[in-house]
Amino acid sequence: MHPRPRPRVRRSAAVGIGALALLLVAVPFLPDSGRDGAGRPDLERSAGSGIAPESQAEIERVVAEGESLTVDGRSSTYALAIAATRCAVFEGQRYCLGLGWTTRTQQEAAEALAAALATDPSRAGDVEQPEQTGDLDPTTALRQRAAMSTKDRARVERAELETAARSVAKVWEIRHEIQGVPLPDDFALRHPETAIAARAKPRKHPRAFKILDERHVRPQNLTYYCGPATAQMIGWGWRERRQGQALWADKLHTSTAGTSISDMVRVVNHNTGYDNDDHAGPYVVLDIGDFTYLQWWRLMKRHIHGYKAPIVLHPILHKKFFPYLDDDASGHFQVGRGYRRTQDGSKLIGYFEPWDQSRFDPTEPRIARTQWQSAYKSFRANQAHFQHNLGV
Amino acid sequence: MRRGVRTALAATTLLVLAACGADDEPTAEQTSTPTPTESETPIETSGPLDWQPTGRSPDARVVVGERWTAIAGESDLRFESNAGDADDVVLPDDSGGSVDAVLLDGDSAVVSYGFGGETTSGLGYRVDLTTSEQTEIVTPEPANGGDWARLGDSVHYPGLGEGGVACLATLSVADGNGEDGWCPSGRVGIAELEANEDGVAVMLFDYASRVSCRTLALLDQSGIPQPVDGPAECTGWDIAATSTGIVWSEVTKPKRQEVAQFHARTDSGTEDLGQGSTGTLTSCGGDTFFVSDPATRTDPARLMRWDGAELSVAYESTSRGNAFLGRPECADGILTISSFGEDGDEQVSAHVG
Repeated sequence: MHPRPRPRVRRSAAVGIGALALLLVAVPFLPDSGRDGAGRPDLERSAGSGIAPESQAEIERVVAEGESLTVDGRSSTYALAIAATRCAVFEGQRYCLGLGWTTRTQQEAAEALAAALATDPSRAGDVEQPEQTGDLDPTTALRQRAAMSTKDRARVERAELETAARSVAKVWEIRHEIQGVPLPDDFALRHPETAIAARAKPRKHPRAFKILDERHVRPQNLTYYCGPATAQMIGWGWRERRQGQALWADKLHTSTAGTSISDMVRVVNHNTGYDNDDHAGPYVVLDIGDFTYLQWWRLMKRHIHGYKAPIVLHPILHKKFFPYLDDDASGHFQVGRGYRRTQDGSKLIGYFEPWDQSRFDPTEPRIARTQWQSAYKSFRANQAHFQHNLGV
Repeated sequence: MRRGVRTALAATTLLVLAACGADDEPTAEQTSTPTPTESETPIETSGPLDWQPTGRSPDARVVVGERWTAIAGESDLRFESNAGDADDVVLPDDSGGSVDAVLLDGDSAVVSYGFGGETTSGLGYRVDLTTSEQTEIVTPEPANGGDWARLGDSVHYPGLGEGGVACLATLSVADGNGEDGWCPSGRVGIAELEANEDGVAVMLFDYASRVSCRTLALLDQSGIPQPVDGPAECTGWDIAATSTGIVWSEVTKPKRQEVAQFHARTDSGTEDLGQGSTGTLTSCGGDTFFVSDPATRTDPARLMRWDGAELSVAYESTSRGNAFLGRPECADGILTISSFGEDGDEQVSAHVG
């Protein structure tokens, strides 16, 4: 524990925004002069990657677009968001870097990011933040990408897009089963594996169901470790063995600024079996901004009972949604692991809460790590996050 | 007196350790949402309050007072004159913290900020809205976060004691004179401060238990917390003094933290006020209010009102089933609430008395 430094003057915010703009100008959008062809289409490689050639070409298009973009120091926040928001369309489904699968257009996604950047407290850089529990804020996410060399950034973006391309069948399944979108005529031909997997999974769900052992919970042991603590509890559920949060933080590339949801999904896919065909298939980052509450509820049931797999919940941690809080806090990760419809018709979500406010704030009492609460509040908390997405 | 509080906390800590292990998950057979209508106390279906839209987004934090309205935005905290006859008073968001308490009374306000990280010290300002003068609260130094409560010129808040311990502190808003108050001698925290004409109430809690053991208390004439009779050991959360006794809540199922059972104690005994939302108890205009989630798919979210003798419904959401209310805010006897639901959100305010 340490005392809080005195607050700075407003000038800090201007300096922070200026520094961000310069960083973005200096590093990310100018092509490396010595680039060795990274980002060029490589359809030969596509053949063995499990990615359709047209999808691979789409990946290379988006990566190349990132390599060639330029903005200048006078660029507005809006322009920076436009530069950072790039989307690929795989088999009719849109995936935007950093955001996930979405029905928003690239323009709409960019505008949402611009709005979030404009109000992001961390834009000031060197001033203190409101309570941050470990969800990576949009400004820092941009900074981290900006700090990479063009080649490294292209590599990371290509990997993210390739993972997305391999999971498009799952996205179509969710759109079809949860949102009622008709499958493409050639879906079964393109993805015969999904029909086999789907037959093995129940479509009728009981009134209540839960997974994971509620003894396998731990609070996050650092203020910015909601990601590692969430991954730890999911990993514990799969392996029946607890691994330290520092180890998970390393896998997640967690920094003091937190963890991105893209990394949460990547680590669940690479470190548990919840992504196999007997469970959820590959986890994806899914924008639920266009979901109704009923569709969101169906997704919870489908995942927890049908897939027997936990959900990476991604709410904004505000008091109006989580009345046990003493202060409003940042975006956050929780482990979704249960649902229940009571006899009076009320719907509840069960989750593991990594945030132990009493650990870092002397004026807040400690509560149980296992919580059940109004599903509607959780839905609204998810929707209220500027990304309104989750890991499923 | 201190020993009495400590003893009570120590004893109840042991009890809560056992209680926390109980399987308290809701079952399909249980009614797990609030059921205010199940209370033995007769309920009036409509309250006398005249709710008016604030004209603001329900997502904004708004506190409507008699002469001023406070709006906490993303970049500042703004006080607007209701009559439009004075310039706005703006507190820029230079602190980097988030606005916690906004205690508006007449032409003055007290504002506190909370900070992230492992920050121990907080930040607060006294604001003279007639001159726009803002003065930082220095003594006693505020602790980070926690609840602040105001009654007229007096503000009660968690001050930062030695070793990072939160102590009770009081301050005169007019002249800024502050005074150190009661400090727990052990690892005891202070939360849920609530002040009104009938007394100052507080929750004390321990840090040792897996779920904090909580004791509800009223400050005596010396400003020392005295545990109240009524709340079950370790389970109390909200508390407020009333003209006839106290109102309090108990969270009996630690895994259902959002749900509390509310009670009132009067001269004639104890009343069960039904289930409500934890942390929403608010005193305003001489009465006490708490939020209640829909009990069934066809129920609205409600704001419940206890006037010291009777329970009534002060507000109902338009949405049914999938709906909830934010914690009420009170200033100058005016209550402001935000209502969220499938059929639309709204933010309204009403004079209580």
